[in-house]
Amino acid sequence: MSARLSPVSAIVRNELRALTRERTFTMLLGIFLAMTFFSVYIGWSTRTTTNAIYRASVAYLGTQGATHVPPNPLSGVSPLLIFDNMLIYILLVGALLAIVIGHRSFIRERKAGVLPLIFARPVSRPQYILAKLCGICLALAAIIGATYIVSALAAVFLPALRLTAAEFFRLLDFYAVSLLYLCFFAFVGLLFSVVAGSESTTLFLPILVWVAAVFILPELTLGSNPVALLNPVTLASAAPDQGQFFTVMRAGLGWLSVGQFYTQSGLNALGAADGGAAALPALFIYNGAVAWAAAAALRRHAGTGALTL
Amino acid sequence: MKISPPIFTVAKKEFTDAIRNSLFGTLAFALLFLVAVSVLVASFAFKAQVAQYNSALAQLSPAELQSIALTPPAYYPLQMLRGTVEYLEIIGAVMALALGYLAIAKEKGNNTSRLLLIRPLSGRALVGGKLLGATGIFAALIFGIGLFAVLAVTGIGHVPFTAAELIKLALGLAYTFLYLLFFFCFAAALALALPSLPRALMLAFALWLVFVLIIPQVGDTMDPDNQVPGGFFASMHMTQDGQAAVINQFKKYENFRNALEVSSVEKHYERLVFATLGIKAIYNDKPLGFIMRDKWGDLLVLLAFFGAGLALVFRRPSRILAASP
Repeated sequence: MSARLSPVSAIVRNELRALTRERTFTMLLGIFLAMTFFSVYIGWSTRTTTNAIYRASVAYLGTQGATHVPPNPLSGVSPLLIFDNMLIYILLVGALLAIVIGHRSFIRERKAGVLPLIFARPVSRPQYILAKLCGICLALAAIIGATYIVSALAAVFLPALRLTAAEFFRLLDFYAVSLLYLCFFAFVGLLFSVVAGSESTTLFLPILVWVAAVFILPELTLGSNPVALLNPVTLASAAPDQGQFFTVMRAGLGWLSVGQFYTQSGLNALGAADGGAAALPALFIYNGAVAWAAAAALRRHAGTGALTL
Repeated sequence: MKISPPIFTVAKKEFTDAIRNSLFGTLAFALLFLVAVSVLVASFAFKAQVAQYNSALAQLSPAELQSIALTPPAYYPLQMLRGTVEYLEIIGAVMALALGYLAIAKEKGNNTSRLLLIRPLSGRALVGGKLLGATGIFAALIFGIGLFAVLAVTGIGHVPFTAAELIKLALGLAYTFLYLLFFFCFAAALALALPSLPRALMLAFALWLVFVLIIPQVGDTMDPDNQVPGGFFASMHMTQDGQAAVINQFKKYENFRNALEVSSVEKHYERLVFATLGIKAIYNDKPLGFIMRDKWGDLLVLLAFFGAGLALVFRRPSRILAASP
């Protein structure tokens, strides 16, 4: 006879089993691996072509009789930047998929109406939420772990790309930061599936949070246009000083900008930008705050109300 | 008592439902807020540019001032709308998807579609009524955004719009209207065709992500000139002719990159509106005839996507609605 599981372990196992049964886990794993292959190929092909364009430019300048040829602008750039598109995909696609995981995690049981039954067992609401969060984190960690392995293998096998041990470690650091960012949005998805009354709202409200974090706050604090925020090179370059308005906005709203915390930490890990030291603790604090809010909401509202469309 | 044709009754209900829907209200409010923010941000960025110009001017000696030809930054009201256009192409599309999905999902999900179809109302008339309702919603929203943008730009920049600029703005908003209606039709068609509503919503969002965010992003990041802040060719001190001569040697790569970009309806919409509003520098202050001669291809593609959306949503709606659970 197998040993009896604690309630938390039982819920975590159930969560992972449900994700696998619904094929959500397989789907997410597939999407992340496809994104990795795609982004590495795009990054590598762009880098190789730009280097070839540099050589062609040097030849052209030579025919024009140029006496001074500038050095290759890519020569001092970190080789890890062939992964920089992954930062954008995780910022956009990854966050939305994480919202779906968090949303499904609670809504599944809320829709089935089994929550009163679960709470009739010896499991407290904070324990229940903790177990859900652990299940979500484990699923996301497995996906990100697989993504790291594929990225590392690509780095080993791609021609003209030799990473040092320190760079492999930095890549791991990048994916660890990505995991923190994804957990934040999964927790937000879970929080709204507890507090919102209709099924559509439970999904749309976290998407609004995502829009605010990724597009609105960076525009307000940096003055960057939404499309410019999707280019890793623009993100890595220092924002020009746009005046007093943005300084005030940065001071007032900068601490809320989860998307920026992630891009700063991610670019720092990839060796594209300095700074971002404050971003990592901020992501930890936000994850803790949202997890606490979800537990508090479940205790207050019970979260077992019927759902409308 | 005057009885309106069923299609108008459905359209009227769709319109009032959307206005009462808190989700639509939130999204519409968010969009208006973003328009205000983007205009404000663009104006502050312009003011900072003017301040930089003035401080650079103050550092020059009278002799240097005479020898260097300096052009002060010029204020073009329509160029302040870059952020607004970008928000409409990203967030506006999400809103249109949400409305298109909800328009069908509320009938399929509440099992009212079969009940509606026993009335003297065909599936096509039902879908047509919903589309007409959406037309009213988008027309009101776009008019509101346009008016709001004009007031914000004039109020902040203190530069009035000329008649030509107002015509260009109206044309840009008309393209936006077509773009949003395409996404409405697309999401409604998915909600009609797929048996599972959540799957239809997720698929609509997934395709939005791929075609509105990912593909244009890939095309943009593959641009060799975007590999270095400030531009690769600028850092090489190369002329336009030099750039063209070098890029000509990499035609295959450039064609692939361009093919990626043009596979997205969003890129065609963006190119068309950026040219019309003069946000793209080479079209700034140019007459509409000049812009249209260059951009008719993008307009044609936008119209083709809109037509395809219409064709999809009107494809056997009665059978699909009657078969819904």
